[in-house]
Amino acid sequence: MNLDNTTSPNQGGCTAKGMLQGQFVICECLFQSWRQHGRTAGHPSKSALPPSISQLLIFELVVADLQRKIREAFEVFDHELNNTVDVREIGTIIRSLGCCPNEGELHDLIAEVEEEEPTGYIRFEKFLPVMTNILVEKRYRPIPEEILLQAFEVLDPTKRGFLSKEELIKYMTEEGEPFSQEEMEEMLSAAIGPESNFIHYRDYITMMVIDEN
Amino acid sequence: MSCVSAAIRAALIIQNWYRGYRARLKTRQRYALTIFQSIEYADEQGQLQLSNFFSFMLENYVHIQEKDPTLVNRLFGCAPQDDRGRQECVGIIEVPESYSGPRLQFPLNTDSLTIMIEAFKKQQILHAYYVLEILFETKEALKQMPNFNHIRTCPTKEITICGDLHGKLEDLLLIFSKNGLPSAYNPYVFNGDFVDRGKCSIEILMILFVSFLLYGDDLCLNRGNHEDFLMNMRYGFTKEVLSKYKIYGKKILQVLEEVFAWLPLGTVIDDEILIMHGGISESTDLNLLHHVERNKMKSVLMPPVPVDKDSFTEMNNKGHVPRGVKLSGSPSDYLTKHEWEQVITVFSASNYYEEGSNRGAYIKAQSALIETLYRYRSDLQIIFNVIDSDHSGLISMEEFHSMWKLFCSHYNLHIGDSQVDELAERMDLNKDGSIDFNEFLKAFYVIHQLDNLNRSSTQLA
Repeated sequence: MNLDNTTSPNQGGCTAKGMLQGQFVICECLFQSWRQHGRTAGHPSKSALPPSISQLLIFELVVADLQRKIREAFEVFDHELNNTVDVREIGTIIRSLGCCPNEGELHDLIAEVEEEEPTGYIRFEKFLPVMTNILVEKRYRPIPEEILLQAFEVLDPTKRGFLSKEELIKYMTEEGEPFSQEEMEEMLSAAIGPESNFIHYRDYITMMVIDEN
Repeated sequence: MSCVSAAIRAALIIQNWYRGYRARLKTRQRYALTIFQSIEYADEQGQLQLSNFFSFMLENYVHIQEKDPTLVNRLFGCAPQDDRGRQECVGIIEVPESYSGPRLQFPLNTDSLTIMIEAFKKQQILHAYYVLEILFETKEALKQMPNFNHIRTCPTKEITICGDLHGKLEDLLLIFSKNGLPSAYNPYVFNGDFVDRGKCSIEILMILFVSFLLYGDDLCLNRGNHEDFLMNMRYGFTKEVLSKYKIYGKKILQVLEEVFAWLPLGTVIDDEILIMHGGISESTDLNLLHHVERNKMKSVLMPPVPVDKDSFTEMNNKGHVPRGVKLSGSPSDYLTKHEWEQVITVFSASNYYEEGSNRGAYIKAQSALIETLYRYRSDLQIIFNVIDSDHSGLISMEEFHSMWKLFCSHYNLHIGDSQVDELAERMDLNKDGSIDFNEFLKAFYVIHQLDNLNRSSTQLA
């Protein structure tokens, strides 16, 4: 280790790789991003230095924590307790970890974690590294409440403050990545009572957000 | 940016957000379920230990009794088998003038049920006299029944299937308010576990038993693993009865034990759907279950007595007749090990819950015909309205015929003319040559020629 607590690339590299066995991909990510963006404070002349041991240790802890969360989420759907889940649950698992891929992105992710010959089941060993990457890179961030509100307002150009049931159904089942019948019914049952025909979207969003927290 | 693409982007955002929300909700529910299951499992382990303990006691009964008769009496010590007749027992109970709870007439009628429910809503307690009368009646009625209830759907009747109630009277009343009281036109199946944990187990039993006495064929009760005196001691039902019925509580519990033992093991709908508490495993022998003498199963925790006939006779000869123990009587009073294991598979299977929701749920089983009608209902209504050009709400017979042809060709159904005539005839209720759409919708039979129809839909209460 150098006097200023940095390490030369090779030493740092070897140690990091040794610690995160098998997580080369993650470590590479970190190295790449440090190489691109990292600057050691007070030494602008030096180009990006590799991370110090302590930074890597912290990073490892963070990753370990993320992987624990991934494992927990996975296990909820691992009904046979054999480290596999039905491929149809992958979307739910990914979303439950706070990521919001759209259907297209989800489709690509599934292709990444599937076996060469798809079996209908996804193994944890394949899922873990892919999901870890997603969380480390903070991909598929959820939509902030303000953006969601704006989206509703786009669909309500005259600014009535609500959408009719028919309007909502039309947009949700015909545009974008359309809802299935089941999804539509579920959304409606939460949004409005059986007699009502209008969704007051501001209240709806507030209610959903509270529900989540 | 065009309006259209802004709308699409907006839709995408909302859809994306909603799918995320839904997934997180689903995961939370599943997670809650796994926690619940592990609690249940841990509980079950405790039960198993208790069961093993009882097995051990029974196996070593003779030795233990010789060494320490007081211990045996304390453990198994209920009063000596009390076979006093019903008359003797209930006949002597008087309902005092001061009693302000519900009073029932025997034989029971539909009013009895409503009177009772209203009283229970006000937290009144049914007098022990009525409780015992109902229990004795129920026992007699249950004795007549085979091990499995049989019930049929038909186009005018949906069957409602309810799961565990566990003493939660509010839930039962909610189901009744959403779904209607039981009656000959509103059949129910209750799949066990009526008691324990909740505070109103005895009230639930009273409602269920009275409904059963009134509507026998249309009110099916399945035994659950909590319809069991040992479980009740652990999970609170015994305590509830003894605290609500200070004088007659013990007697009530005693009669209940027999009533529970006579509850059928399951219900079969249309010879196709089997409903049993806890379900079955691949190794369950259904034929055996049909023939087993179910009333011999006293408790899910008490295995059959592994005492052979000889040692029993020996015990009797020496005068060590086991008093106060459920052993009294011959070994033939208990199920054989093989039979017992089959029933235990039914009651101890851990898959109590289908969906990971903690809300109560009931299932409606519909006739396949009505299911199809329901599926096509909006189309049928549109067609009807098109034909009913003067918006009178009625269509004539000829119009009905032509409409029917339209419908069939649209859905590629093949219905003969005579069948159509018959239908039309039946629907023209006031015989004036015209059909009312509401009647039409209710009585319409769509004879669908496809096989796999989904026969039930779930509703969350």
